[in-house]
Amino acid sequence: MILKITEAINSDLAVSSDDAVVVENLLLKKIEEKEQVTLDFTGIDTLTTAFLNVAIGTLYARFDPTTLNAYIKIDGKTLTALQRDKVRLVMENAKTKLSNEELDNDED
Amino acid sequence: MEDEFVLVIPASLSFSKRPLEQILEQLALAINSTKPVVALDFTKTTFVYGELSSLISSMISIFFDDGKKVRFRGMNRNVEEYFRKNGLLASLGIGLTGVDRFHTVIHHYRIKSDDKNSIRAYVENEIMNNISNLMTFDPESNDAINLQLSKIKPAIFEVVDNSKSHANSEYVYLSGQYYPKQKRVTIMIANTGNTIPGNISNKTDEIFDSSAEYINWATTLGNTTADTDTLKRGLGLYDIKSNLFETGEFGIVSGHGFWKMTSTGSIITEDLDAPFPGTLIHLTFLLKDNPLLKNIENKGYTNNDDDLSF
Repeated sequence: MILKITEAINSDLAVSSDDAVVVENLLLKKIEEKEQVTLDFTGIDTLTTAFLNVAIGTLYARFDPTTLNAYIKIDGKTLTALQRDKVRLVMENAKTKLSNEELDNDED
Repeated sequence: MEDEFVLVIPASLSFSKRPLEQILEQLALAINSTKPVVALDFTKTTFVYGELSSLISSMISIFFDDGKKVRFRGMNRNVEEYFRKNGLLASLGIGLTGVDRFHTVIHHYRIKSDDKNSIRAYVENEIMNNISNLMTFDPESNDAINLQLSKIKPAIFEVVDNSKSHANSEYVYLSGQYYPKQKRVTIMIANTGNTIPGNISNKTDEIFDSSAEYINWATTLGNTTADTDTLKRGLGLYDIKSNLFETGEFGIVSGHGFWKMTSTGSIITEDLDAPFPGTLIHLTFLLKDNPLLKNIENKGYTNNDDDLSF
């Protein structure tokens, strides 16, 4: 299925962590149901890391990248260059944080 | 007047350590004073950078919340005229907003931090429209300038979300000024909520010697407390810093901390003698040609989708 972010949050401002929870829950549900989802950002006027941290970043805490790639695709054509940069930043940051956490757990 | 606490505003009010410290030392005393009236004394003030209206307004709110009354004193005609034009006086019920013939003033507003539509209207109507109407740039620079302008709205929303989610501040105080000769637009967003050093100190195990170092930590990529809940937080300040690197300036005052990234990318961290009970964010977007903006590939703004996999 295609998940249009504007429809999911009923706004073209993807800027708050509160709105992002809606997307996060939808994605978690789809993964649990083993259904593939393509995220479509068409029409999003403003996108922030505050939104992406919750909508996408938190998924790394629940599933490994292989599982996430199997079920979730981000349609890069629907993002502006600046927005694409933010998505990449959030993904890299989430991976780094979880890697650090694993390292810390190994040390404990 | 015996029942007044007189808070003297410096000669030049700018986002620099010394004038801020002069104000904040008196702010701390005024907050602790039992006097029911605070007089903001502008007798010495000859110049105010317009965006600093957010600081004045947020201080007044702190006094009001404490049940104090506020008076203005000794404001010269130019300063008073400016505060009329940018709506600061009108927001306090003093007269009507004056006319800005040059359209360089970005009005002052206090907006609820969860009111996305008002924030959007502020950015689009107060900031973007004014600048777009005034811009007469070399067409070869247009792509660079437009890229720079496109960063303003997300940056403001990042700051506002921080004010709501992390500072727990009900309101944000926004002011700005377009400086056409210097080809820059500067915006200040203030909140009176939890400070950045206080939040980091309370929610992580990080310990630093100074408040400014806590702010520096908050603007740095990759910091973690080994807590998956941190996936929900952070990045906003780092994202702004990275987007303004050598294409603008970025300043933060929070608690005792003063942190600033200059237009050459240098970081200044100093502690203030007195705290601001909240956070001031000072954003400057340089609206002139810059190789970093012209060749956007250098900043990682590519159209390659290969790296959008998890």
